[in-house]
Amino acid sequence: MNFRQHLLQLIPALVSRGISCEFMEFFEPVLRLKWQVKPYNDETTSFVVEEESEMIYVSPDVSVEAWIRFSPSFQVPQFFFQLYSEGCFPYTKLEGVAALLRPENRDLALEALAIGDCPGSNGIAWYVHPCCTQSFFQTLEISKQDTSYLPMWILYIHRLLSPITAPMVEALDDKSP
Amino acid sequence: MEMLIGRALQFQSFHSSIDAIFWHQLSNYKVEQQKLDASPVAIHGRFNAYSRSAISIVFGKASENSSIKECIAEGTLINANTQQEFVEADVKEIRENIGKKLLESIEKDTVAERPNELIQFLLFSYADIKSYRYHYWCLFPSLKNTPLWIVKSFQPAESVIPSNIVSPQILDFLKTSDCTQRPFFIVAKDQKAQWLVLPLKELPRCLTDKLEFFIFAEDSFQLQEYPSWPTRNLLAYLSIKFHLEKTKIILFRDGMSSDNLSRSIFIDLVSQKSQDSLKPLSTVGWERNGKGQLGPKVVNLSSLIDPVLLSESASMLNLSLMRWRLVPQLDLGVIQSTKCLLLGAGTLGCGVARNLVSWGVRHITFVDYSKVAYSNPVRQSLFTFEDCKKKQPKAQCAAFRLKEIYPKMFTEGHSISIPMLGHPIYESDIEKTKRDYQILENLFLSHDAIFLLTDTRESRWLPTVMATSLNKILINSALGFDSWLVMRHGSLSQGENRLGCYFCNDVFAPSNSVIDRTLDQTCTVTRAGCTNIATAIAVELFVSLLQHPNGIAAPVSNTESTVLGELPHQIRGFLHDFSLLKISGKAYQQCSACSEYVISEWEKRKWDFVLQAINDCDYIEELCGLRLVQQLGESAGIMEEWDSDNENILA
Repeated sequence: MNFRQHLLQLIPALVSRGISCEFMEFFEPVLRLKWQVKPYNDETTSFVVEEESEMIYVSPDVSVEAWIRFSPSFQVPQFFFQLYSEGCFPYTKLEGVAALLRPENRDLALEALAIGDCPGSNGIAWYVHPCCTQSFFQTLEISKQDTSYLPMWILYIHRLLSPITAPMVEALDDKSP
Repeated sequence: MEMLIGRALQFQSFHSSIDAIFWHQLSNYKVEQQKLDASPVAIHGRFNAYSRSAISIVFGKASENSSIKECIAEGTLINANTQQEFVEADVKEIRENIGKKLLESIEKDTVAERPNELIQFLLFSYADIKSYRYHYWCLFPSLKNTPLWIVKSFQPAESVIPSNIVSPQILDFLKTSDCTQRPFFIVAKDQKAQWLVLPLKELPRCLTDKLEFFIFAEDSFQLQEYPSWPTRNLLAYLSIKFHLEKTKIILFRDGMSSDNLSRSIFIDLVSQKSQDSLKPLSTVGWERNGKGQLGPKVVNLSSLIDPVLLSESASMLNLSLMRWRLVPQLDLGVIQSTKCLLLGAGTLGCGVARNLVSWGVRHITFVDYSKVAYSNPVRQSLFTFEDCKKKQPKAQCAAFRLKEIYPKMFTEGHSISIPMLGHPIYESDIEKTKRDYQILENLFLSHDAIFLLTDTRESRWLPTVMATSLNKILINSALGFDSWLVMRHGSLSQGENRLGCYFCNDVFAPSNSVIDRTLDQTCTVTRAGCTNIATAIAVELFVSLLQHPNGIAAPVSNTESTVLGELPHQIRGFLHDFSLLKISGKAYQQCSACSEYVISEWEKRKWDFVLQAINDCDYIEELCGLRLVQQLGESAGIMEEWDSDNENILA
């Protein structure tokens, strides 16, 4: 299986969990994803809108946009993401991103996170540095031909970025036998 | 859920989710096509059962035969041309206009053919493209003063619908029908008790034939017990168009690929007119901001898109990660805020500047009198061939080039000469040299750290005097063919343990080192790597010094005296055997540059002192006492000769 096929194989499971998927192929295959999630430090508030008793206002969750591509230099998948609060304000500081993660993940995540050119759009995005991913695959000894290659890698990403990546893992759990 | 029974149904608001790509596309569209035209622009929104009341706003229309597996809401973008236009817009009128469109869709029943007309929305915006700031306000319209709907029953959908039979049909319906049908459809039992999935336009037939039916509404929710905005508009449609007094709704929360209805909810509703139902219909639906208040949002995307800010955050990230992961006590702020003056914009100057920028220094000033020569670009990293052709002054050219590398830097270049011992100043040059001197003195006063990177010994004399007197950090670097020196000059605040300067080991004051020299002797000819090593070590020594709590007064330390390690005085390196020596020495009382005699005279007389020192070749040596040392030395030499003669006789 090539990487393109791995990405395409992933799509049905992600879509069934409500993750918006867009497969793009310009110079390389890239899978763009979108979902909403409650962060770790969730302070959801809700109240009845006074002016009209029928409406309940609930504060929004974090919007996640992600891109999965294959790093040609490191020969491993690479996970890029942008996070938005209130649907529009991007998280651009490392401290802000860390605060959304589980405390037990933060040190690992801080070691692995970097900022770089977003593969699917203009501007920049956070990404999990592929040198850390390389070490993960070396330990796991999983072949690129294995159908569980990307799902296993997603579990690794989730270990760093939980609970932000929870919907991806839930999607894979739903589809597992 | 039992608490809901008997109560009027309430609805969760939708939230817009707009990413940087949308604003980028709008900006491009505005600049390239729309320009000042304020006509509405087609946009659309996407949501599904898992999107937690968020609707992603996408630029442009959704394609007709879309393979998108989500519900599509058609929207309109109205973009104001100016901020004033945005702020002064009649938002009430905008709201009522879209409300009229919604009501018209219901009354004329175009909803039957295109159910997603019940979830049309509007985005009102102003794009300040130059500063990457976007003002916007979303409107998800609903009609107010429609009858209330009282909950009779609220239970899992699978308790009323056999999902094993119906779910496959729902999947088939959603796959085969276009996206306008997805938000609302009917599941009915025909006269033969067969379950059917029908488009919403079949509602009149279901009513006429008195079929048992459930209207499915795609529901994106955060709170389990409340349906979201689309259901509100569906119920308004049922009240206004069909005058239904009771209905059965399925909040469809299982998604378009699900083979069951495990997440979906059945609600049995009865209509109830309230006092508000007697009032005319009006429109509500402007989105609330994160604090629940009514008002537009302002998004500043410069940190994601603005290239200048991108360069800032990206270049600082490496340093931040260094501090986060490896050296938590590293004080990056002190490095960033230190203003550095580089005397010399040649090989050393270019190298030091580049390394300083890597460390986050944001204020660099160059002093150099010469122009870029054809031999420069290969060794001096801030210059190009074009600079040679244009005979660019080095100081200004280096400053400009640094700004090209990092736009948010403060950089400046001054083409001034540094008065030098051994290079007399003629009458005709006094005024100009005095002006240059005053600029130099002002630069010393306005900067925190000086880097001595010139190409002669004597050019380092005056800067040493001034830096010592003004107690400025001074890092000195000099090159030989295959050797290099980096040192930090001592500080008066070190007291009797004051470290020495570049001249503290000399018994002669510096003089003209370039007179009567050939080309190869006047140019410093060095191995290429020497400069790179020297400049890297110069900046690392400087950064380490800044980390010491005593700063410029830090003593020599061969142990971990700063978070970055040791803090030597002088480092000399030798490429021929790749060795490195750390040396330290105390300040010399008779030093021609940093002794108290010289410093105090400069402090008293400033330019007059400098002029005398340069034009009177004996003045400095007499002032600091070196002349006496030389005389003592000569005497000691004569006495030794006498001793040697005795030995010969004896022998």
